[in-house]
Amino acid sequence: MNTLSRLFNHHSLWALLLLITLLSYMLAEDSVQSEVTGLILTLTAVKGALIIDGFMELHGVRHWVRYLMHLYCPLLALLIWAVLQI
Amino acid sequence: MWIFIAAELSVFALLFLLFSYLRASDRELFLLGQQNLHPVAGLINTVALITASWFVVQALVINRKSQHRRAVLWMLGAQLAASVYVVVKCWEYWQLGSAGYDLDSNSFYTGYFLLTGFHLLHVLLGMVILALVSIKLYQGGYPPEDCAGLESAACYWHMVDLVWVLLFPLIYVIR
Repeated sequence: MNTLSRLFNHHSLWALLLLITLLSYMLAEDSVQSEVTGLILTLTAVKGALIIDGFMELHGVRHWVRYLMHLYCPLLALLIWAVLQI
Repeated sequence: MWIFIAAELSVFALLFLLFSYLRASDRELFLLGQQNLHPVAGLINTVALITASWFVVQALVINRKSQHRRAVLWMLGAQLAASVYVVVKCWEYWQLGSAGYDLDSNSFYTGYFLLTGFHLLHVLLGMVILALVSIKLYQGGYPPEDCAGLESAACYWHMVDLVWVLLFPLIYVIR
């Protein structure tokens, strides 16, 4: 049952990642506005978090590796957004 | 493995920031360059890599149930999805090359070819790693209680996926 629920979670995660990708793609035309750019980068950070916790199976792990990995996407997205505003 | 992944992610982070800085320095040039790219190709590649990652996770889950032969099938699926990425990326390069664009054309194409080319090399390395672990997996070399090698290979692959997830909006989506 546990494995079954894990399988289901991975299926859902895959579908969710594709959904977020499509959403980002549809925002492309409006991404000249910095708010939309910010939204796209936020969605990207969410995708990163899903990959780290779901696919890399770090969900629930209490270790500095997970904290650092979770810091990577939001921090990089924020830095990219800041650099693009120059 | 995690230190190696951290080092790889740091290099890509620097490249992303450099690309963003160049873009901010000459927005018009980057918008013109972006118009010659195929966003649908970027979308297909994103779907291919996310699907490949999903297949790799499924292989791990199935292997934990001691069904290593079935796990190999999921690994083959991952290779197939990754091959879609490679074919589409090579097609993009061929299209741009035919139109006369290369590394030296301008800073957009330098950034584009360097970033995507460096990532493509990681995908190809990932495919080789997945192929090697698949052979060992087929031979029953990763029993559920000792599959750290398989998990490390999977983590490397997910890192490659994670990098593309950041690369896709930066190059194809954000205008």
